[in-house]
Amino acid sequence: MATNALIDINTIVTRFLLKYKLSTEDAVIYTEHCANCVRDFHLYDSPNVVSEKIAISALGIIEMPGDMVGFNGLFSTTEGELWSFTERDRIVNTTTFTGAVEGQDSAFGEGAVLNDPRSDTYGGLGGVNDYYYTIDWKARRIFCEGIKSTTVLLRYTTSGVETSGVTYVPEFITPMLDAYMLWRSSYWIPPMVREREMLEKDYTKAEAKVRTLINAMTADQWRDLLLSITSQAPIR
Amino acid sequence: MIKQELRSTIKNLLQKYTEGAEYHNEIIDRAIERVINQLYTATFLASPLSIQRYVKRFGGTTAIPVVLDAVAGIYYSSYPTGYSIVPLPDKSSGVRRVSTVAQAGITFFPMDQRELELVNDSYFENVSDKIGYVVTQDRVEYYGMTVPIATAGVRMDLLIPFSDYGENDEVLVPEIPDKSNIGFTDMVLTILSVIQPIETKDDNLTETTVPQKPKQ
Repeated sequence: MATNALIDINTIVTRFLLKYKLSTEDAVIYTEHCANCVRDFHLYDSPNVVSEKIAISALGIIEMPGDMVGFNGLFSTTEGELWSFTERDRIVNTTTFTGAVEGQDSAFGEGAVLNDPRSDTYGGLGGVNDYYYTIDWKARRIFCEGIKSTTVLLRYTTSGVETSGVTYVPEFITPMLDAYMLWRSSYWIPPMVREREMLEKDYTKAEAKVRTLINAMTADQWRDLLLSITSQAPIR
Repeated sequence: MIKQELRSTIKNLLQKYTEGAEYHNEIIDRAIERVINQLYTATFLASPLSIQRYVKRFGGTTAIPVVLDAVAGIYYSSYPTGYSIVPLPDKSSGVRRVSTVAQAGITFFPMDQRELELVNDSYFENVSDKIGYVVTQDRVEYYGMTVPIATAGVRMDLLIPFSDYGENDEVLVPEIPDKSNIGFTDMVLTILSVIQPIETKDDNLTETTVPQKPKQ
């Protein structure tokens, strides 16, 4: 059996020290930078989003998970498949308190049902969604319309750095993490300053390599794509 | 070479004075210590990793205790009784390595006091299971020490001064010449060349007799 596909940050740092003949002198600093790079990987490169079943309150509000740093989608389910919500920026995203109880003031449009103009006669084109959402990053809430008091699926990106338990990342990104740590070391190791630009290029190249691999499609995916857009025709 | 052989070598290379006037061992030891410390630093600056070859291991038979300072809320270990360290200009200083009693990969990373204070709520705190150690003048303080490791104690590789070695301890001396291409022995003799031997003969004389040059 081959080596594990996942590796934890501690091992990445210790192997980095081994590979580049470094002492443990700056191990704490390298660990910090390595975690930064893992976070960047999850934000900018990785397709690994978290799918979490989450409750919509009676007010139609979702409280964001504490580790959510990016939004990827909100879905209900239908016949085994996900049905995505549509973003609608203009949903009223305030609430009104009566004493300590949070509620909605319909006079202000809070929690009101949105009316979509529809036409089911001639000229009717396209469609409207039953489910809408708007994100309030400041309040760390998602306001939903068209659905309340139920459970939906939220897809989001996290920093990827676990606060409890071991943080694992794909082993194949270690060259990128190594390149990042080497580049960042040029900010505190004086002789490395003149190498900084070159090290940054090394990191960019390593990141591009990872991105290419992640986004590349397999032969079967290409085949499916081609077959999905072609019509059957008699072969003579 | 063991400590007393090293001293003896230097002693026999020193200029001979009249009977009764000789260099005290303490004077020779301090001269040797000064030179060895200088060579340790030169070796470290040339290649930090190679200084590991000159350390003495402690805690091999009986683990070095890890104690909780309840007032400060930190775990620490005192240096083994009778030993101190040769400070070097990095975070590990004279404590080149700390390990658990059961040798299983690296568990301890050196830190400085600044890092110890800054590392709270950092990614390092969340993702790392490593224990930081801060070298101070009289003890080693730990960050993130666990109770099982503290209970079992630790091992340490210390760079100790020449005077702390036992008479029969092996002392490894870096044979790295200085800029003038002078090695260990010559460096020690250079220091001692300006120090007169002490009169040890109990003859109530106040002066040391400088030996006469042999007649040609």
